[in-house]
Amino acid sequence: MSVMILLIVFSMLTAGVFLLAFFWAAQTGQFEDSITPSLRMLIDDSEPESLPADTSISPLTKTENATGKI
Amino acid sequence: MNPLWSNTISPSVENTSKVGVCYHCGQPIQTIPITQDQRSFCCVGCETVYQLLKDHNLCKYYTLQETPNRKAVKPLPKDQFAYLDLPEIQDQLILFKEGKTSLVSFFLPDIHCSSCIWLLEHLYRVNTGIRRSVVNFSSKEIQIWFSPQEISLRGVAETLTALGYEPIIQGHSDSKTNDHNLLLRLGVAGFCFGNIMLLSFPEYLSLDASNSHQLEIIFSGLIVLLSIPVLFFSGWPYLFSAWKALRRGTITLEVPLALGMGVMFIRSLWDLGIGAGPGFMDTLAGLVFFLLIGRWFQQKVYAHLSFDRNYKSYFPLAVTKVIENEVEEIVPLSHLRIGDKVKIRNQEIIPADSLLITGQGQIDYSFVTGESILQEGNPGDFLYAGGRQTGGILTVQLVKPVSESYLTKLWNHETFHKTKEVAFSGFSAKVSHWFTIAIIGVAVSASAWWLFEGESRRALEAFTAVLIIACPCALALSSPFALGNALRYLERNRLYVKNTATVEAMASLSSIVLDKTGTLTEKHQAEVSYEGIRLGSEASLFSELFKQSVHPLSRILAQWLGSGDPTVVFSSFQEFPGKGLTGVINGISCRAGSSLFVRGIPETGTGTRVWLMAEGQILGCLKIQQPYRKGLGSVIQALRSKYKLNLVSGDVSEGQEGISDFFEINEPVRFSQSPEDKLLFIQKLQKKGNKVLMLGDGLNDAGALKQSEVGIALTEDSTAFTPASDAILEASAFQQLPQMLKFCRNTLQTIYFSFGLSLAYNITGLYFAIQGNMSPLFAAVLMPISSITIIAFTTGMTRWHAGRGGLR
Repeated sequence: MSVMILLIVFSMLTAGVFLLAFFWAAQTGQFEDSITPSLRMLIDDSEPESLPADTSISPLTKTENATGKI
Repeated sequence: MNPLWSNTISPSVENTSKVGVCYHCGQPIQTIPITQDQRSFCCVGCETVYQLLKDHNLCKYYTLQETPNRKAVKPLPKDQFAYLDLPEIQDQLILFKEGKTSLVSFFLPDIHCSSCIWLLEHLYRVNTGIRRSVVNFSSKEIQIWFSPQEISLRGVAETLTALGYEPIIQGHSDSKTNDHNLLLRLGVAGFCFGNIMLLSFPEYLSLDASNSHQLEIIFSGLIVLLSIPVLFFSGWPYLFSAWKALRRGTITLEVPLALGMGVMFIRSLWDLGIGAGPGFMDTLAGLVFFLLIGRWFQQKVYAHLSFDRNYKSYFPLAVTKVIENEVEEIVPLSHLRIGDKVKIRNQEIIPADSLLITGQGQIDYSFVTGESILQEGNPGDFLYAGGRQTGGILTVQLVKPVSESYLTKLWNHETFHKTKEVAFSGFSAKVSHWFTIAIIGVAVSASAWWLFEGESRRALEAFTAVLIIACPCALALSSPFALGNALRYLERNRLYVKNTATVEAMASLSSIVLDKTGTLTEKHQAEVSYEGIRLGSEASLFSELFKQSVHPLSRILAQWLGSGDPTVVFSSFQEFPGKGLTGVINGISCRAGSSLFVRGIPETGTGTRVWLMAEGQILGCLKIQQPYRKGLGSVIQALRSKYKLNLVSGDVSEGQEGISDFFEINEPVRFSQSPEDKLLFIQKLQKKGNKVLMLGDGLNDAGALKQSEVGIALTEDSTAFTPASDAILEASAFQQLPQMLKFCRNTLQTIYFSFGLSLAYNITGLYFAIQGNMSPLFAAVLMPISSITIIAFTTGMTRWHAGRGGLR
């Protein structure tokens, strides 16, 4: 019968791990936005993540130039 | 589910530009296209965004979806976001600062597809000062972590605007946090419920555990351990509100629930302690688990809607104050005083009642009154707060402080300082009151009977069993499930109801108050009618005349008058801002405009009128009106059969044509109502014992929406600003309003029925409980069966009623 006790302790521990996983998911806000992640995963970032060569120019000045043109 | 789903990824991946359609925004190109890399653009704005994306290696944006951006990028004033440099404003907007990073959240109404998510989450490529950005698609919000040393808050806002996502910046955003704890409580209850059931299995199957007494003790101990968090963590909201109700001297439904839960726990501890039986811990855990599911089902969060906006979230955070001559300063709205001069640019809002000093006002009051035809303003004119200037720059001088203006002083009214009472609590409270008294009566008399019989042990058992079995679990589940389901049906039909209490309130109304402009009339359409001498060839002359002007009214009229005659010869043309147009066409001198301008006498008629004159002869006048909503007649007819109807309108004109066709003589139709008059009118109706529904659309209805039992704000676009209300109705669903109200009444009937059903369960249980020999297994079976039948009954009935009412 002592094997029963061992099994119960084991099963409770396993269930406890899942409970903790649920706690972690709820606390990190994974239940708050269920739509964006489902869309995000459909976009694959296959192209190289490299930044363009002209990063030496501050992008902000670029933005200002762009809007200034209007 | 979400209407936005229709806009998700489309498989077509095209890199070539379609002819005649802007590569960036997908709008047809009306003028000469601007070409760049063999791609055509409709305007400089779109081309600029393309250039910007190309420069930062972000052209993948265009491959994810064809013409991802729906709106043409409009050029914006350069210092539109200058106020974001003010430290006071920054303190309001920045959520937190940690070391070298700040976090800010913006509302971007233009987010609509997966390409938007991709682009906005790659903002770090556009500007290295932006560290990380995360989009919430359903609430159309973006969180941006940026380094203030490298990019200012203003820079972040400008970067977004340059990409075509103009942030809507509101200082007073309401927090829309879900009850985090509810989810945790639900998880814990579910975990414990499952495990307690598992440990009770030997009992369920009547397995003889006597050969291992040790095992039995371990099982009991574990059950007790598991039920402690169920009662004190998961069940805490019920214990707490029962205690609060008792302290107030009232009895709510939580009182018998908490009583049952407490008795169950103590009796089970006792039973397990003395080894008298397995106790009721499984029933307790199941009860709490089901109750929390009901609670979770009942709460509904509309990510992109806000029900608590007041004028402050519509008004700007800061304005450009003119100090002296050319010196300007950006100041927060709260620093404005009477006499200050303020500069209002295109698309900016007039912050307080003021006098127009310079500039030509073309002011859009549609968010305030619902009137979408622009109001003219000339220097010296009085301008009301809340209007949005469309056109050139204005300078205005404040004559009232911001909070004391005609519109904004409404918020000083006492109505805005109290919270609405929950309407339905009356019935629920009455039921719980008598229910609690009855079960305590039954419990006491049952135990008295057994005491009289001399069986004191049985008396105690009967007493506790009554309280356990009568625990009104099914009763407490019926309204969350019926109302929660009703909320979902209404949402699918584009009526977004704030909470379940509002659905209850919507079922017990007696009177409906309607606003006219923007509510009963279409907001963004104009209907033109003509009175006067029949127009022959003049029609095409005037059409050409109106085509020369960019004034919004001229555009509407030119379109109405027909295509015109492009061969006409203009010998002269002149536009008098705020007055009208003159021109000599084919040798005929034409004049069109206000009565004073054309006829030399002030306007006597109502509404917006444009007079026409040719060769010194007055031909007649064109009347521009917003048309009534489609199906208005049948909606009013349907509402009339059940409710008393009233109309309150801020319009001056009493002779407004058409409205009397819809309303009967005994139905009050009131005009010239100030925002406060509307509120007081509702109060008057309520004093006569009416339960009032207010249907309005603009900020001038805000007081009435707040005062009424149910305030529904009508909107053409659910992402647009709506005044504080209990529910938001999309204009396209207006015709279904009578069916929706009927559905709410039916939902309440369903609740009454299920109350009866659950009482029947309780009485059956009581029959066994008073005999003092109720087995825990019986409770463990009866409780879930009654709960599940109630859940099935209420959800099934609301579904049936929705289908019968034509709601999808």
